[in-house]
Amino acid sequence: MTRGLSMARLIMREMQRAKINTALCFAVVLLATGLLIGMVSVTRASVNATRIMMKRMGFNLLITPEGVDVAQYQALNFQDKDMPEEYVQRLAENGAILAQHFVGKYQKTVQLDGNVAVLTGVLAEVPRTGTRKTPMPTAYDVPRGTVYLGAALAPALGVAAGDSVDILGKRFPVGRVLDEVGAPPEDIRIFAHLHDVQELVGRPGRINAVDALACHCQGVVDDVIAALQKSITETLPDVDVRPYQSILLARQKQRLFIARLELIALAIVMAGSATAIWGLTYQNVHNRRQEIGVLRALGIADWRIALIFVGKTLVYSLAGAAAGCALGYTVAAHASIIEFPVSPPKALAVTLLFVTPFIAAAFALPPVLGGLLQDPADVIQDGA
Amino acid sequence: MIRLENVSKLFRKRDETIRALDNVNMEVPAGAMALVRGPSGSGKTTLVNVASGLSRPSEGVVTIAGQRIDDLSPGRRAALRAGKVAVVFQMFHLVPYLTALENVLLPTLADRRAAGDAPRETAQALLDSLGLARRLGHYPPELSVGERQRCALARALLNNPEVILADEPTGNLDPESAACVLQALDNRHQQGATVLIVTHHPVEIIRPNVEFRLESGNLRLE
Repeated sequence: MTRGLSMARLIMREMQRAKINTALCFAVVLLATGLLIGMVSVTRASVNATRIMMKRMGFNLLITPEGVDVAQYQALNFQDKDMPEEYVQRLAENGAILAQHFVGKYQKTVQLDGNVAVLTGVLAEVPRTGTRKTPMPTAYDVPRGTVYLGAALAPALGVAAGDSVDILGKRFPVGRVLDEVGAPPEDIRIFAHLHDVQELVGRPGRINAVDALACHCQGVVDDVIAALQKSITETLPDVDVRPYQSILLARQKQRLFIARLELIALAIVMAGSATAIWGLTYQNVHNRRQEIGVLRALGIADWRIALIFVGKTLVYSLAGAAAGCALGYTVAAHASIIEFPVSPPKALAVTLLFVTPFIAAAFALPPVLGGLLQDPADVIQDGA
Repeated sequence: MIRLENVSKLFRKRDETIRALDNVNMEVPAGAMALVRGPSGSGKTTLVNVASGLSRPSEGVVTIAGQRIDDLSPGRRAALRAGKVAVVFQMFHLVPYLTALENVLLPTLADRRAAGDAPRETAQALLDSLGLARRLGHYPPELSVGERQRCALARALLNNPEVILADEPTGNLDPESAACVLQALDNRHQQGATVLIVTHHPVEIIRPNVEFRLESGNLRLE
């Protein structure tokens, strides 16, 4: 048994016949997907760069026992209020909390040889349970029995790495002298293991602060702080949550700006490509109206005739989307648009490959249906 | 069988109404060969369009191949044409980007089984019988006018239609090609198909069972 004429063959012949129209449609899809992929590659690289820079700037969230006087706290009077060390674990285990990278610490202002220093006991950073995060650069995992000295304190005490210092009657070797931070009181801190400090101050199992990093919060800027505080106090009702608002809000504003930019770009690209595909398909169908009339006169069902044009749309839009994804990413990655490394937005690219042909087909369908509504006798006679 | 009962077809152009067919009554029995003669502009093409279901009549009843079609949807009328009714146009209306063989195979898109188990072989045999064996891979612009009409005729015959409606099938042809086309239509008539030819050209080669005259939309038996 030999086969008759196949739809696939008819679609390919239609594409060969309407080369310029097909090439223009392909170019529209290529440009649309290329623009989207290129822009999203750049904006995501930008967001990622900001995330890295923010992370380098340190924690942006401080959790203290309820009722701590902020003015006294900032004057390095950490007061007597403290909370259980296991709060750190409870924060990490609650996936609903809009923060991560938790470091529990006990701080006390001390005098060393006439110098004011902030004795800070810390544990290694605890990531959110079930995640693997690179620790914050300012989170120190200090071995027991050792201390790290701030950049301003070490020279004031006249000690260097490898020397020893007496702290509250106990001698500790200096493991490291830290790089200068420039923000008080970071350069006058003495970092030690939390349990060493708890022993020194006689408060085993207690901490008086948790550093954290607020994570990607969905929603409008004004709600971010409230949502963040609520997510923590629901788990730990007897704490105060103090975000470093300027850092937090700047980051959130950037995210929202980029999300809006992406949406606007998507809308413009969709509207532009819809108009172009509609117009090009209309022109194509108009030029083919007599052939459409002949096919209908031969008794070929309207849906099969529509499939010739819609099938063509599916073919060129799939090819255009694939080429657009490759082009958009290549341009974004190599055209020095942004100095940070650009990663391909794989999920978006895969989505575009699946979705673009159907969107293009939806744009092409109205003029195709319009062509099929014409009286076949009229259009055949037009060509006579 | 083709039957038109009190059929009229009106076209409106601005304020004017043109009555292309005016209360036409016609009956062509199954297996008959009918000829409709008439001058240009008498409504011959409209008659073919209405009888084949390409156009719906403004008034009246149209029955073809045993089925009333004037009240059918365009899709149902197309389905009927796909299986039982073929139209041969004066201007051939071949698809320019398909070869002669592919043009003849077009009806298989409408009804894959109507041409039998081997449509490609059937199409080749039809083209061969019409003297186009060496033109299978040629595109319409590469064919002569006579070859195009023979190709269009082969396309009309592929699905073995019960009824063939031919609108000025020899209108643009040289005598040799015209004879070939008319002979092919007569052969199909001999094999049992109902054939209606509308023309204002001489068609001596065929002997119709019934003959009509169409003038200004009015049909009368001759």
